[in-house]
Amino acid sequence: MCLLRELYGSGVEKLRIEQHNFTTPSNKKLEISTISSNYHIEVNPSDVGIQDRVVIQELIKTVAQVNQLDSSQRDFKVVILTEVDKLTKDAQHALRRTMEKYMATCRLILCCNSTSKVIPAIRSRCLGIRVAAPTVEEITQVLQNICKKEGLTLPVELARRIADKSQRNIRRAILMCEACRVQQYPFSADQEVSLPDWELFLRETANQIIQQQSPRRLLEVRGRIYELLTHLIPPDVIMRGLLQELISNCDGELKTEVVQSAAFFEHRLQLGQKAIFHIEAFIAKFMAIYKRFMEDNIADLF
Amino acid sequence: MEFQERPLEMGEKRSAICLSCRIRKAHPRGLVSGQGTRQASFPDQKPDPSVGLFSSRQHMVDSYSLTPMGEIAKIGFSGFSEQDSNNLLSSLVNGGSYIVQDFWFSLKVARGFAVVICSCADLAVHKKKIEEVESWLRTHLSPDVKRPGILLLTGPTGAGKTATLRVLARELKYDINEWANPDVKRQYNEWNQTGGVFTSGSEYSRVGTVSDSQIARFQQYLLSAYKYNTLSIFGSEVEKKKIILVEDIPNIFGRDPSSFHGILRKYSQTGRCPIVFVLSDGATGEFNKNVLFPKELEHQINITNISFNPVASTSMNKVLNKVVATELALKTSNFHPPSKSVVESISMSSAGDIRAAINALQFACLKDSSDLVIKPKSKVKAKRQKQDTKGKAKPTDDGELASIGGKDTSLFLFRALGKILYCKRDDPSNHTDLPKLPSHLQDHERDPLLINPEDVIEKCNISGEYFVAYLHQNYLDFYSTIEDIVRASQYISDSDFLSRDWNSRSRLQQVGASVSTRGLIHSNSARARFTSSGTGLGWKPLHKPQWYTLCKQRRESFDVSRSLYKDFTQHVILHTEILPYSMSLNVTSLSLSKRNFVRQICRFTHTTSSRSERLDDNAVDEDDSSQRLEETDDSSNTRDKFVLDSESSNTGTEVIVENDEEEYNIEEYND
Repeated sequence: MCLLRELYGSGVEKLRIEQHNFTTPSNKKLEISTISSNYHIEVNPSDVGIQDRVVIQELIKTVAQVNQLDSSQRDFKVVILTEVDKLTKDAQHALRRTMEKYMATCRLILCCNSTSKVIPAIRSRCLGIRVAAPTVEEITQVLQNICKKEGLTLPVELARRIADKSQRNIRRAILMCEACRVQQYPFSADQEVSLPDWELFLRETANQIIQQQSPRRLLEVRGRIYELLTHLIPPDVIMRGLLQELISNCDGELKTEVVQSAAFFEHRLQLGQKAIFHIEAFIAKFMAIYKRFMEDNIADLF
Repeated sequence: MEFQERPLEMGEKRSAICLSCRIRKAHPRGLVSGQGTRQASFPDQKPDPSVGLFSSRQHMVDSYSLTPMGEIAKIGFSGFSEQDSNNLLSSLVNGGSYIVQDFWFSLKVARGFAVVICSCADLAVHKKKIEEVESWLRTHLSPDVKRPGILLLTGPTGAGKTATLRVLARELKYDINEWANPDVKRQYNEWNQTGGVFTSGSEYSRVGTVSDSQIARFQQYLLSAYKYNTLSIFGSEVEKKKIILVEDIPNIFGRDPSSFHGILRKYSQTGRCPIVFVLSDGATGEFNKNVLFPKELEHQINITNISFNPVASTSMNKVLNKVVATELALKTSNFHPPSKSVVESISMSSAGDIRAAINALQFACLKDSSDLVIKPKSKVKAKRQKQDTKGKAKPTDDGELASIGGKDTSLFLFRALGKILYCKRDDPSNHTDLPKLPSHLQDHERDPLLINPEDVIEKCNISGEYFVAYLHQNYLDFYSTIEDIVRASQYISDSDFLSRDWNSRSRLQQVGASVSTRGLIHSNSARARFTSSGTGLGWKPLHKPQWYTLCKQRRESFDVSRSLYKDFTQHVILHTEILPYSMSLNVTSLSLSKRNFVRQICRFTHTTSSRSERLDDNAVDEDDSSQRLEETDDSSNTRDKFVLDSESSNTGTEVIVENDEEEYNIEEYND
């Protein structure tokens, strides 16, 4: 956004949300919302699932076909595509062709969390800029700046603790800080930093898995996983969170095996349709590994 | 019988057509598995030997039955000589059997029940059911009943629903006025034959023109049927009471049930004589019943529902033997009394369908005399597992019979799941040629299965994917060790993996289902031996898969959030970070539109959390085994349980939600 302002001036901040409609070759209607100004358009094409190819082609075409009227400005528009790593292969190939074709009138900014899922053809056409996660110090700094501007006093310890808990995610850190403000003001240094409910819930679930390994417990855990899923927590996030919690609770020897099975089922989860099958298989696997380990340990003790 | 209203003194052609309808009417619903083809192949284009063979006896029956069948039959076959010539040659045998079927079935009704057996004591239906129907009829036929009763008879095909009604009609002395679906095609043909001019005074003026909708006709029929008595040509004795029987509900109502309900309501206000609906529940029957006769309608206009069970094999045997005895008494030339074991196997293979059983019996009696050499086309499949599991060693002859007359029984989902999950095994000593596993694989050794998993899946009428979902929902209860579950869950995961590609999904789905069922069976090491199958476990409740409702909920709330947060394009971040926090944030500082947004979000998060409560509940429910497969949830008792449950799970988060809710309530008042 700052970059855009550099390019175009303040006009870029007049944002509007638009609904774009597309028709696929099979006559299916698609609808996608975009954020745009006169100079740029931001869209998350992976919203429409497997039909994203159509969106990409049509959208860029329409944007690029109109030349910039105001000649005092730059002679191109900007298209921001988010979550490029979630695009289908099909769409990525389409993107490759489109981005070359309309290079004269538009520029693309692609955002993604990892380039490993972006095809090499696109990677070679782009200038890769890695935006590293902010360090704890930086987050602390940002939080204190914000608080100063808001007219609040934020103790350094609390800022640091928030930054620690935010997993170096600045958005989370700011949200956490805000939540703390609602919870209690003036801040105290040892005040509790609240985590999202679902993370607490997931932690409890992991604890349940650690406590007992039995079919009945697995059934209870399944109920909890279902609950998380209804809260719109994506299955891969659940998987990752579970793994983190479980790993931190188990012995070093087990970690390789656990991570390996987690990777295996995570892969399955990406490919398959019914996430619960794979998550459950992973939990069962972990239970078995953990149980065997505990039994061995007990046997060693005596 | 059915056609008292049809004028019999019409011209020859008309009566031929009329009769073709009549013959079709005689078996309005499926008798055997080849239900779809039967009607198409029914009209025979050749004088079939079997027709000639039976024509003499048809005349014998004529004196008993109400319509002159023999004559009509002759006309009927000549009348249809040009049609359907393509598909009949292929199955001369079938064609023969259809005609015969028709004949004997009417024999069953006309003579078997009414003349020889004479009373409802000999019906194959359970006595209690007959009494139930009878008492209903008695109360609703009595003259002091103001409002007409509506009775709904349900049950599997061939359970004797219509037969009961007819026999009772004879005993209680009332007439049956039956609705017949108008045959549009027939009318069209007729219209063509008469050169595009309708003959006046024909039945069409009564039934209505071609353009009349089925709904309108049905309504007209119901509302006028009770008004007129049958014309008494021979000088009537006593005016009989009447009931209306509707067996073929016009299938337009399947699509438009509300208009059907409207007609019924209207009838219940104005009608005078009781009306009986007969519905057989096949694969789609249950659906039909729920759609056509929903519970609230049943309460509203007082519909009585009596459901019939399949005919028990003992009473079926009795009836079949009686039929045989009657036939023997008649001493017709080409009747060969079947052996007792044959009769038994017929009654068993028909799975409670007495109509199919009688047809099969008839075929069996034919077999010896005619040249129809019956060879089982395929080897006797495991289809008749019902017999197999009962463990009766049958001679091959019976196998053949079952392959003719046997009903293609479909398993109920409940039983199919049970078969997989309980996985009964056979005694290995019964099988001598079993290969032995090498010693390092010893722990994978299992006794032979009694079932074939693929057949079970095939028979329970749902897709493999769905079946796996059911299995997945229920398998945990049946395992005792976590190691077994590891293997089982991996197999399930495998099966999902197999069907990942949409291109080949339709085919691989079956493979996946097979993998997961066999995997589940194999990995349950506690039930590896046949001795273990008899003991343990006991009855466990089965549940519907939660996955599909979950997906639906998820999609719904996703759409909600998408429409609310149009300016967020990254949903993962929105759902995992922003929403959970915005729940606990103060909303007053936001602009009005934003506030509205957040309010809705509050509502949204609140509803999802209440949803999850319910889900939690379900999890508890499963433990308490209160929610069975057939049952819908009972919200009252789940409430109580939640109180217990919420204490254990996430009290902290719940409190936050509630606080937030209060906060926002206050705000609303401020506005």
